[in-house]
Amino acid sequence: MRSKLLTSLISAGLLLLGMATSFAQTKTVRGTVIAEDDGQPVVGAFVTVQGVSKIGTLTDLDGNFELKNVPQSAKNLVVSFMGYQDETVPVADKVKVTLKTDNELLESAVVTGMTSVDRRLFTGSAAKVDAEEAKIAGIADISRSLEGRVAGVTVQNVSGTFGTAPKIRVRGATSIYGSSKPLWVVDGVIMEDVVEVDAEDLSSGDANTLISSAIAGLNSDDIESFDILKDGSATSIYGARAMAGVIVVTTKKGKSGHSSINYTGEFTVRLKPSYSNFNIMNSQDQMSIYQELEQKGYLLYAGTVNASESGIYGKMYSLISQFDETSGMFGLPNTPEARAEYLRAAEYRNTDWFDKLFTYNLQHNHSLSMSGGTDKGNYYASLSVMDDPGWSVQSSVRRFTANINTTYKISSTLSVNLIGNASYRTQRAPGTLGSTVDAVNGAVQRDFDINPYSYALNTSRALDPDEFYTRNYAPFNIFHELENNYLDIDVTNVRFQGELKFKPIKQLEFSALAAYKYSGTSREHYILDDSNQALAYRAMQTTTIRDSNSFLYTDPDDMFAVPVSVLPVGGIYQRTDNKMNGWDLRVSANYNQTFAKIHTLSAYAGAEVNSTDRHSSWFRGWGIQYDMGEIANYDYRVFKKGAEENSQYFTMDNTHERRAAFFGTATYSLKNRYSINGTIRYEGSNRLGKARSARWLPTWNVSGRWNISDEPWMRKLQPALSHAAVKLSYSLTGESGPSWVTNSNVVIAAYNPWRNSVNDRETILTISSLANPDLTFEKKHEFNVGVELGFVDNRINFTGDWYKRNNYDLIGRTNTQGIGGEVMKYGNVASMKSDGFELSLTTQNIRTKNFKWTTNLIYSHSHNEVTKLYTNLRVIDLVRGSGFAMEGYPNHSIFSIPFRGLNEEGIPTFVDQDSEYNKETGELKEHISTTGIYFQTSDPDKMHFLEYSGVADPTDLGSFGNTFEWKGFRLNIFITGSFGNVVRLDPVFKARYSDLNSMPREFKNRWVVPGDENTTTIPVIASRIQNTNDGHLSYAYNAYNYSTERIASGDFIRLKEISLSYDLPKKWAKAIYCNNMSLKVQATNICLLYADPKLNGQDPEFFNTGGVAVPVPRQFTLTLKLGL
Amino acid sequence: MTIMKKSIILFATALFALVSCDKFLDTLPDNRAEVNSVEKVAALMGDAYSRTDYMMVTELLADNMDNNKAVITSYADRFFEQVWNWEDVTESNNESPENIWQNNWGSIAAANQVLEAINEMGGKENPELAPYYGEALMARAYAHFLLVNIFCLHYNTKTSTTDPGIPYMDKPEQGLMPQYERSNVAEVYKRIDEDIQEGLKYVTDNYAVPKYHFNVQASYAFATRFYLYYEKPDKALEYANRCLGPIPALRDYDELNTYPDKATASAAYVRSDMKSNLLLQTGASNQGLFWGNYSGSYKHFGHTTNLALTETIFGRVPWLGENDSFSASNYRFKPRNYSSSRLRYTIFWNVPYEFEVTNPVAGTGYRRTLYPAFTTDACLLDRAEAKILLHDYVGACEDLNLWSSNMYTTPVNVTPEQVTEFYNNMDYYTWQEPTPKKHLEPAFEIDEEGSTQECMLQYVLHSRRVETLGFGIRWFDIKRYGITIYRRVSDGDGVISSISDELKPDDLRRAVQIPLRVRDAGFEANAR
Repeated sequence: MRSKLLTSLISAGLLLLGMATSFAQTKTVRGTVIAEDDGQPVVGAFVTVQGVSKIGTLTDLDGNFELKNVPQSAKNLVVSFMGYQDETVPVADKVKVTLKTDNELLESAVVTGMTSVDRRLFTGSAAKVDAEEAKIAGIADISRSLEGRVAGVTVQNVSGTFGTAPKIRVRGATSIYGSSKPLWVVDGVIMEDVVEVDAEDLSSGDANTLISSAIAGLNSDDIESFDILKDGSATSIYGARAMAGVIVVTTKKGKSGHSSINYTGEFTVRLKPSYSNFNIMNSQDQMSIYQELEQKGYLLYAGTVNASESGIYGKMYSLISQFDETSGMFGLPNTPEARAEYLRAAEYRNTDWFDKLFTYNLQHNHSLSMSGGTDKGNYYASLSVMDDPGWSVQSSVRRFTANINTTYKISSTLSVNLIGNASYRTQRAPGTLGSTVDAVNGAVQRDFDINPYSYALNTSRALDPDEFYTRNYAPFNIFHELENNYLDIDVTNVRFQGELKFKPIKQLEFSALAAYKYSGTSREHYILDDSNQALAYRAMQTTTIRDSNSFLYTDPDDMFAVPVSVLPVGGIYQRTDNKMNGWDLRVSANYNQTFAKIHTLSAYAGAEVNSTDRHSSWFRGWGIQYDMGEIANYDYRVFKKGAEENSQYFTMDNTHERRAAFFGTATYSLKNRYSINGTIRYEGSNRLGKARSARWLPTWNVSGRWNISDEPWMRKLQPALSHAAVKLSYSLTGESGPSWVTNSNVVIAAYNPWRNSVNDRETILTISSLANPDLTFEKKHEFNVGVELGFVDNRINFTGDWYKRNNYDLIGRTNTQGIGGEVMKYGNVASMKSDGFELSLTTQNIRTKNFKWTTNLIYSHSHNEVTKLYTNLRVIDLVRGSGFAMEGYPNHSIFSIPFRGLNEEGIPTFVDQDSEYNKETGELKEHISTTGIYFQTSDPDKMHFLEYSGVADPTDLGSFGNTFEWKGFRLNIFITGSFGNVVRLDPVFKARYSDLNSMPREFKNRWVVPGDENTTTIPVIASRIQNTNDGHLSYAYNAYNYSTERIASGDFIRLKEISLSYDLPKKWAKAIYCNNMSLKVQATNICLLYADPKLNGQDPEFFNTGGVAVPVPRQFTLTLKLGL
Repeated sequence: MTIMKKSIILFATALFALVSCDKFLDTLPDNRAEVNSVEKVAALMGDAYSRTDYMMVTELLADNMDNNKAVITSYADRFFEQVWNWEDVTESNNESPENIWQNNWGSIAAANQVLEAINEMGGKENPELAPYYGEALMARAYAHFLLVNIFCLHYNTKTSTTDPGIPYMDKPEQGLMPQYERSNVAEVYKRIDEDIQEGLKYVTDNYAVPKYHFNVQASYAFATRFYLYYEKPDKALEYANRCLGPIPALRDYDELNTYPDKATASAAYVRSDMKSNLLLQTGASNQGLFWGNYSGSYKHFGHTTNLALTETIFGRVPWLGENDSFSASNYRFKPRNYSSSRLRYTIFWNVPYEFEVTNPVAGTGYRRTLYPAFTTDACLLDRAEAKILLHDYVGACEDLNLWSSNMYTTPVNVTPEQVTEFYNNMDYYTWQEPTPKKHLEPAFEIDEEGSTQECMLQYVLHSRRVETLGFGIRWFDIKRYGITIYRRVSDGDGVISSISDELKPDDLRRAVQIPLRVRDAGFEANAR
């Protein structure tokens, strides 16, 4: 009743306004609006005169309307109502309008994965990305295509290798130790990772990053759209798992009455990296450095010939001492002339490692899909194959996917949807071992690393690519090693799911969903007989080498033993298997009812259970003779050695995840203008152990929306202001925290303590985590305000969101008194706050019959600050490039050691921790020294000398896209940018160098003679004497690597994509029996338009950590699409 | 109506689901263990032994190492510098005070967890569980014993009721950051006493690897040392007698001498089938590098030949003629002299340096060492000391002669009179003119300087210093006997050029500072 009054009042007001401005001859139009689907009158439908926005009215309870003052010239009326298509009818005295339901749900609905919500009632912050538009041709992993597409979503391609997940953040970090990874939901089913790789490890380059992407098995052509749910209101239906946002993927379905068969072919060529983009010395400059090293007492015969690693000089010395009995000649005469000549040859070598280690191999991807349907059912089926022979040597990938999605209507009330999805991938990568961090100086090292990219960057260009040099006392040549030391990865993913929908009456729908997921991966590391890694196990050319080669074995039980090889023949075979089995069951009910035509209530409630079991096993076999029919001939001592050293022979590990949840959400809407929504979810998890106290977490949200533009009094602003809405939400969501913190009860695990004698071995149980009964979920309160605006008939669309988050109960590491047995414990001790805004603007600048120019602009900013975290960190933790959390600073902050110039010997000086800090004034009395930096210090009083440099995660993100369409042509230029972070430059400075190292060009400006300290900041190459005089010199050089000199801004603007596509005219297509055909040329990752010059070619997004990590290449892709 | 029915069915299903959920969620998330069987109790006992040693720190603190900085130019580890200089440690290291703190409390936590499991499974009355009950009490007492001796001033009857102690943990810790009060040293000693008395009733030798567990003999050896430190020599004597039996099985040095290589001999020294080793422990440690022939940064602070000649290995002993030379050949297990340029050091090389390889392909892992926490040889010397304190000098000499005859190539047979005369002829130590005889200022009463008792004590302390060289025991004798020591800077050629510090008997630095993080968490620091 009240609403009718309100309607009348507003209508009257509008009419008054209308009258005041219309003096022309007018008439009155009356009519009725009914809905097609149920034949009932439509209440509150908006009726307006086409082209005269000032006149408009709403239908009453019986669906009737009366429109006065309609100009005689008016031709058409437009009737609109939410959930129905707009209807245009000719003006007549008496009209009857029938509204058809809007089937284009995707356009008007937000898919939350479990259900979909009418966009005009949606109270949260979410963005939809059309997969077709976002897709980056030639990049098979769809998650990368989200870069720059959605405000508030950052995608950092920390490695470009296929299968590695990019680092995706929705509105920034939500946790300190947790992964902050968004939840991926595909067709309503949560995707679980087969291995849990946390955020830091994504950039580690370790082999398990190759299987870190849960969705690498999805064919990008099968995807219809992405919905990115950002705020707590949007994600609250996932409550206790959704703290870091949700990405919902909807795959393609068949459409009734429309059948088609489509082919997509992509052909990609990638450019080789070039030295011109990097700051690496040429071989002449490099050799001059080696000569300086020689003058300074390094690279002399004695220390080099038996060294574990050596390059040009080591080779020269070994040639000098190599006597050929038949010719009676030495490999190289030991004369100054011969040596000079040998070294001169190296000066001119300028080996282009990039050219030799990278290829122009053509990557191609073929995808074939069929879809169709009738009233009874529809289907979509596809197959795809991706074949990538590899950008660099030994990095090929082949992937096959199959996907089927069918829906069948058994009766008018019952329908069933079946989805099957399978993918298989086989991949090759350079052999790699896990990296380790040196605790003393924080240097990350990886033994036997043969990553082509980092090899090219870090290896002297003076080396001969056809020659073998020395690594681990054994001969080493990168090409030979890549051929003899590689990883084969096999990944199988399958997903089966079925959903039954029962709709007894129009308003109510029950559904039951069951899904089963399986992932199986195996990683086989082949270390062949002749690989450097195998030969290192038998390198004992001289007794010096025999006694210093740590890969040899000395039997402790034999008092006369000398070092022997435990791998006298053959190579090593390592295998890691990871399996994941998961199932989901969900029952839900959906209720939608409109009362009295103006009150709409929709409610959704359900329950789900999920189970995920992960299994991993690992095995290492010794002495496999790859050359001799692949038979193992192992030395028994390898087991004896292993038992004595307490190293594992094989391992296995099982984990089980169980979740159960009950949820409900309800939206009430008045006249579709005012909506309020509430959601609650009650989730239980077994992750925190058997303790009941921490098992369950209720999460909730309340939110509201006001569609201002639907207010009758706003109608007069049409079409200038064609759309306006405001949203508010407040929510609580959670996350169960880092995977290793599960100690509600004491965690006791088996362990083999080290004993020197095999006889004394015993397996014990050890307390790996003390009980923390207070352990609970990490939580987040979020307040979100959103605005949606459309101008000029929605040709200009603007959405903006502002949010404030309060993350609390975060897992942090805290100091305790240690009396329980652990000094540092993980617990819910930390909190963090963040806020930010997101803007996106889409404009159709020009829209004519043949030409269309559309611009997309996205900008977002987020800021966070750790508000509570009581822990003390070592200097090394704070200065490392990955950043760290510290109270009062943003998460992932990076500090630097303040550099204070070079001293008169060319050694860098710094403000050190002996600087006196005045607590009252906050002033620091600087104490300057060369080697006074204690990296292990954790005393908070001695940390004041450090300088805050910035944060490792970008705070601002933007993208700018322009699309020009002319007839069948479409040109797309897409620029992305990211700002606000800092990057630690590669740690290239050392107290001692070897003749394998390559050096960046800044070494040219290094300190050489006294006085240079006034003009340069590049430290001297320390002589042997300098190293002898100051045993701590390595501290100075390490400090330099972590100083204010070695930090750069991470801001960049990247020309991400330029593409030109052409849809061939239909008649041309018909000529080759196609319905449609299109061609597209796309250039991706073209260049950095802006980056800090200090980076000197270092990609600010990419972490060069070796292993299996390579950056995303520059590439050109030709796409061919055919539709039959 | 049908809708109503269906809704009810759905609701009922949901309710049922909720009830059965807790069972569904009881699945353990990983392969963690539940201690619910005798085997698992036995296995958990293995966690009650620290896997970090204290000997690196206590050896650096004591007077067994001089500063060779003048001779060695390679990079010096700042952790070693801080410990040697008696500074509060800020650097981290596997053997840092923080790790000693954490690992020993960890042992206590494991022992308490075992005791809790035993209690739930029927208690010590269950004959299968009783041995572990005893073992857990011994292990708990031992870890407290180490903690209180390292982080507090030494026990004495005068000030210990007010000297800050440590908490005595008798149950697993609950909660994330509980706050603890420091009790007093006397209280801690009292609780250790109780645990030992109860534990001794139940310990057995029936453990899977007995030498790595508190077996009967090891328990008695621990009790001997405890009561010696507790100023109860009569009880120490009683337990030493039980430990050693009528004929003590001392270390078989002849066998060790058959090894051609000292590095292999050092591993044999700590073999579990050596009868003299009563309890073996392992540690992630650099100690093997300090006390083996490894040059470079591990010799910045070292047991120099000068120290060996004047105070320790070749320090003058009563049985040696005044003009007799004393050299490596006098030892059955020969000490070695090493020199590189101006640096000379003398070691037994009985602390093995070993490596636990976690990844044999990459060659990465942990440096390890093993050490005998209790040996019959050391127990014999403890008994000798107990006898001296009980004024049984003849008995003490018997023990010392037995120990010496095993240690040295010549049979030794000295009398209390000879010992008294010998030490009275020796000057007291000064840092410029070092001798093995240092002023003793213990908190308890001993006879005046020059008395038989004082001379006998000098002899037993010297013997123990030689016996336990590298194993970190000397520091506790320095604390117990109030011995003043110095930080000496050696120029490498045997000349002590200067001292940088001295540690008087009342110096508060005798209690190692509570680790930084622990203090940060609110634990009361040691006064400085």
